[in-house]
Amino acid sequence: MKEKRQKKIVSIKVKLLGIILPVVIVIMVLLVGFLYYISKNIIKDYSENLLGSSIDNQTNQIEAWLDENLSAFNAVKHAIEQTGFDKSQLQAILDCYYGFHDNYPEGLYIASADGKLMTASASEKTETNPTQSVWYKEGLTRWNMGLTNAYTNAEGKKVISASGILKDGSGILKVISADLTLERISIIVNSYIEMEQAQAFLVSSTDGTILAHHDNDLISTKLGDSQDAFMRDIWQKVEQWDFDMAEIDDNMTAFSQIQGTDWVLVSYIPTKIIYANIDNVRNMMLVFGLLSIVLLAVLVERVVHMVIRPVKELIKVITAMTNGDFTVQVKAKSNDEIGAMSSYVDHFIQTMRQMIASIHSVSDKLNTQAGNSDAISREMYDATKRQGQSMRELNSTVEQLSLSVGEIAEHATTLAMVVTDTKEDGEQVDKKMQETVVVSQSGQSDLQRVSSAMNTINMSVQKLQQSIDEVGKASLEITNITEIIGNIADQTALLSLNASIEAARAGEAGRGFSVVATEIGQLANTSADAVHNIEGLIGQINNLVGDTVKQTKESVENINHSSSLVGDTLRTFDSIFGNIDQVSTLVREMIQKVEKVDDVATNVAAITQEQAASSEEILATSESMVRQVDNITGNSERVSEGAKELTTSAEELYNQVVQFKIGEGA
Amino acid sequence: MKKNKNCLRKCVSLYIITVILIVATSGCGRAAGGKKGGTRIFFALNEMDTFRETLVGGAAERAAQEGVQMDVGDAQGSIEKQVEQLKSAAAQYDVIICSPVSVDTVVQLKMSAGDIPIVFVNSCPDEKHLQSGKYVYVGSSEQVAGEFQAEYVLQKFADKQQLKVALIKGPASHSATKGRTNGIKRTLEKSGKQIQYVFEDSANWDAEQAKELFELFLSTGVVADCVICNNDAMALGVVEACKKYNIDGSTLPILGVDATADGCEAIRSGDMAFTVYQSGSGQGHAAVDTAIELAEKGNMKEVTGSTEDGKFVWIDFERVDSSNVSKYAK
Repeated sequence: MKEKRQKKIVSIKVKLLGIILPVVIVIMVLLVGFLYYISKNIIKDYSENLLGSSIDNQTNQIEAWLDENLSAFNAVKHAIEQTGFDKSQLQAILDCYYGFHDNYPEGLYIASADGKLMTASASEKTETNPTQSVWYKEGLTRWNMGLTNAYTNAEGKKVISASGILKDGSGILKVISADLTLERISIIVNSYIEMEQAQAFLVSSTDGTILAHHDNDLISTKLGDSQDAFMRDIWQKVEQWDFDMAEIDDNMTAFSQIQGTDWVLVSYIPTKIIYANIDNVRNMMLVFGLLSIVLLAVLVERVVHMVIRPVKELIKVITAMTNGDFTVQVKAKSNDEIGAMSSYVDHFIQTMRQMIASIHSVSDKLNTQAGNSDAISREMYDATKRQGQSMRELNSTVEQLSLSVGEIAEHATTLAMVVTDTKEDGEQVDKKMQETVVVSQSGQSDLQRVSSAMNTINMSVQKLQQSIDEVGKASLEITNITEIIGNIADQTALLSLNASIEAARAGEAGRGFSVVATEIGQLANTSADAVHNIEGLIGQINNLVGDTVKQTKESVENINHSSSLVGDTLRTFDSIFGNIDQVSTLVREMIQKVEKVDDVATNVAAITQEQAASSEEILATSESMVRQVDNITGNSERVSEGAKELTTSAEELYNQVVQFKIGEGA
Repeated sequence: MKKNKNCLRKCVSLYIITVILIVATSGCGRAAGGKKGGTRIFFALNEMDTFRETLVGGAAERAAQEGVQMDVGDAQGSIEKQVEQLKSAAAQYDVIICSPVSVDTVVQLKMSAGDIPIVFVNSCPDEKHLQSGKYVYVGSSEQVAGEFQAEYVLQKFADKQQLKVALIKGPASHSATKGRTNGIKRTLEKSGKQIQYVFEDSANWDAEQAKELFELFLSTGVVADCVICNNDAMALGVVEACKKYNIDGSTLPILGVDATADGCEAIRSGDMAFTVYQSGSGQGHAAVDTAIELAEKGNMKEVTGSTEDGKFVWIDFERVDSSNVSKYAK
């Protein structure tokens, strides 16, 4: 996040401008270039046509001009030839053509092979040796008057002559000629240029002599000797008879042959003049293009500015959100995509707020639960640790147990052997016991006889005792009766007292009765005394009886004692007998038991041995259990660590979630 | 940004589609204009003469071979009649072969023919009036005829450094005169020899005028090495003059163009040295081939001898001298 934020933000505006502007500039340049190219070609074609028609027109004009003059000359010549004038007539004709026309002010003149020159009378033309003149020599090569090359005549004038053989039938070879000044031809050449700013000159294709040029100094000079590279290049082309239009040294150049002559008309126009306009148009287009680009840039900048303003607000909101602040709000103002985006972001914030709130509570719970699980896992760890300890102890116990079982097995084996010995001894004891039983049975029967004698004595004594007891009982009853009499006497005494008291109260009326009461009282006292005496007597009797009983009892006791001794002895014998019997039985049972014990002991020995083996297995198992428990301990340690981490994570989550601000809910 | 790209892409594809549609529709329009088979040709003749007879004959022969319809109209030297013929032909024929009465009337002839193409023969119109696939010229390059003459002379006088040449030309305004003369002068000039034109005048294709001119030349006392004439008739005039003055044809080579019967006869007899045969029937053949191609395809690239600019079909000239004259003598 931070890295991203540190990344420099390139504005959409810059990007759009960065894309649109170069594209537009390229398109504009291409367009301008394309238009320029097309226009240039059109202009070039147009100019070529123009120059072509210009030079054609010039050619036609020049040809017409030459034709006109040549026709005139030929007409005169034809007339002379046909008519056969005499010398004076001929002179008259020559005279009448003198000054007849501007083009040939000197008129016609004739030279004959004998060196005579015949001119108009007014003409000042002289030739020292006419037959050596250019016009004469060239005139000899044709009958129809034709044009000579440019030359300087005897007067030093640059001229072109129209000359031809005059066939007047005189038998003398004559050449008729007329001069056309090069200046005049130059004027003709330059007068008929149709194309503006184009220039033209006339040149002989045979030797490159310039026949007509707007710069008169150049007339009669040769193209090939010119200082001007352009002129030399033209000559190169003319020399090759290449008369196609071409661009030579930045001049569009056209060529045209003049009919009936070796002349070539050259017309040219600098290309910069041709292309000046198109260059202007190009510059204009570039300026307009530049302005349009600037306008476009400003327009794009403004439009994008307007468009991305809400986006900038959105960026603020999103930045806040990135920092965990969800308390921000977005207002969707526009109804375009960005507006929709804003409203969705707003919606998103709402949703996030709810989500964070719920995450918050969940993380709370999670934190607590993580704490719990940490504790639990710690406990579990401890528990497993303890369990491990216990298991180890158990293991040692089992080990001991195993050892013990081993010992037991040994002992059981020993026991089994001992029991076998015991069984043998028991059998001998049984025999002896049988003998003892026989002896004790005879003693018993002797004692039974003594016992029955004792019983008889006892019975006699008992009868005596019963008699004494009856005496005793009778005394006791007498005592009881005396006691009752005594009680009655006491009560009577009491009554007599009470009656005396009542009689005293009654006074006189009771006097009589008191005497009776006193008498009764005296009687009662006398009865009580009598009773007393009786009691004494009885007492003495009882004592006597008592002594007797005592003595009897002692005898009885003695007898009983002896009897009981005998009985005891008998019982002793019985019990001895029973005991011996029992012992014998027991010994037998014991022997049986011992046999069983023997079996058992043997079994036990076997079993204990198995047990020992089993206990060793148990030991092994318990050892593996110990290891497993150790594993579990390790695992539970890791669980504990995991729980710790979980706790840490839960805490981190909590811390993270806490960073989100969602307003009051948070 | 993406939207922008999409927009750009859309614009570009729209533009391309538009261009393709325009090209396709215009292409269709052009293709529909072509006619397949059964081409009808109108041969507009200026005036019958011996050369044009062979020309028309060759054309008719070729048309029969190709199975196309060809009608011939003779203007009998009348510009008006020829224009009239072309106007009526424009409605009934697919293509016109025209031997113009005057090359100056070519623009008028083109207008008269309307949309249908014209194959010019015999007289070559100015190049600027020709147009590839529409207005073409079938013929022999006049310049080549002149070149052939000059080459013969150069060969004949290979050891001479100075040449005195007498030139008898046709009418100055005639295209054949210009072409042939240019061919002669240019070839001679290129040879590097010193060339002197001891006589140079026009005899208007006429034997009698040529004879007079040459007699006049002979009167000057100048001796020429050879006489080059723009046609056979004038050459024969020169021969006449020589005969009159007892000049041996073997010492003064006389050259002509056209290989006419008289010309060939003169070569056979040794009066004339050289002439150039212009194949009338060959031009007729080629004219019909070109006409069919133009009517059916709108171009004549397939025709032998057609130039790259599509304006000319050149038929080769043939050299005629004593060695092969029997081939051309009728």
